[in-house]
Amino acid sequence: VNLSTVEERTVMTPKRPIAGLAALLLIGACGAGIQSRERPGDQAEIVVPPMEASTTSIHVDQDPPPDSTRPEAGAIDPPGRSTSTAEPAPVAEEDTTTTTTSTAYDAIDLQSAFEALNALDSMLGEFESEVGAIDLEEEEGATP
Amino acid sequence: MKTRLFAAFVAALMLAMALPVAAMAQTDEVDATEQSEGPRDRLLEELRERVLFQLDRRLDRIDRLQFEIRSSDTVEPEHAAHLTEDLASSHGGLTALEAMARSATTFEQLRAIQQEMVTEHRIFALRTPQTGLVLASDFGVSVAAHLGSVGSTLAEAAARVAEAGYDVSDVEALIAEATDLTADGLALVDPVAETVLPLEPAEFPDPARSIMESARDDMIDGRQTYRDARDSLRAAGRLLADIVGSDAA
Repeated sequence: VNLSTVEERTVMTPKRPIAGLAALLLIGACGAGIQSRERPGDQAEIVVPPMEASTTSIHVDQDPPPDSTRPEAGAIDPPGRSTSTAEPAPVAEEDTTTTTTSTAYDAIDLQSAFEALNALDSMLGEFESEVGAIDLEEEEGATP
Repeated sequence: MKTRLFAAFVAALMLAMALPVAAMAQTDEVDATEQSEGPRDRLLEELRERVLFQLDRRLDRIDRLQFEIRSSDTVEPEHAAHLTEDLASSHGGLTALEAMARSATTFEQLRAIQQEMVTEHRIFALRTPQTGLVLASDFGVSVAAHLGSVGSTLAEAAARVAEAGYDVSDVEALIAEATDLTADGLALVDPVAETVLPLEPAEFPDPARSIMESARDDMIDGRQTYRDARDSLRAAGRLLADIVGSDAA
């Protein structure tokens, strides 16, 4: 047994009694906090973390947004730009710029507009048949 | 003695000859009676069958018209109720006439039934075209709504294309033209139902016939105006597709 070491520890321990006590209290408090979280039925002891902490702790890695300036099927090309030309997407400096650009190049659904026109043709044909079927010349055919 | 025997013989001979003559005369009389009553009954039955057939045709037509009203998705409920009520009333009247025709015993009774069947109901000359005009008018109103909907869709698309920097003034002009034409067509087609609905058999032929002719002319003009509106919308769509380089058209 190295007595000098034992002596040193014996001598050093009482030097920070308050810090040790604080550490023990902190550990105890943490333990109590954890215990209270493990009891969901006891509403009064639930510790709600501050909003800032939860906000900052959330971090979701997302793929970069699709190139909003590249027209897709049915999208509007700006004047003078061809859809076949693959140009690099301009880097938007601010979010507002990106929003404006994507609104301007939103796809228009011409396909559905033409489907509605075709449905209109069918409806108009039916209407024409109905009008054409009106016969004012039909006789009663039973003259006494 | 000989004279008496001869007289008896002659009397017997005359009697023998007279009996068949009397029998033949009676037969001719019966035949004459049959000939005078048989054709009359046959004619009465023929007329009865004809009247019943004509009544059946009208009842069938009423059933068909009521089916068309029920099948229509676009008829106004008030218009449908008005038409259905008129037709149901005629159906009841014609069914009563059918029962009367079955029990009629004279030509005069059957002719009166025939007269009432035509003049009181006018199923073919009035109720049929009246129903057709009302249904077509209400359908025409829904066609106008559809034209307006397609115009709005194209107008929204044109506005978005304009936001991208294109000149869509021609497209907008075509859509505006279609909107005006649709309004013109609607103004022709829409009032027809309310115009012809109140017509009654007592108003036939005049003024019912002339009112219905005018209404049909409006329907034909409205139909043409709708066609023109549709053509303008289609032209607007094609132009818009050309502008954005879409192959949707």
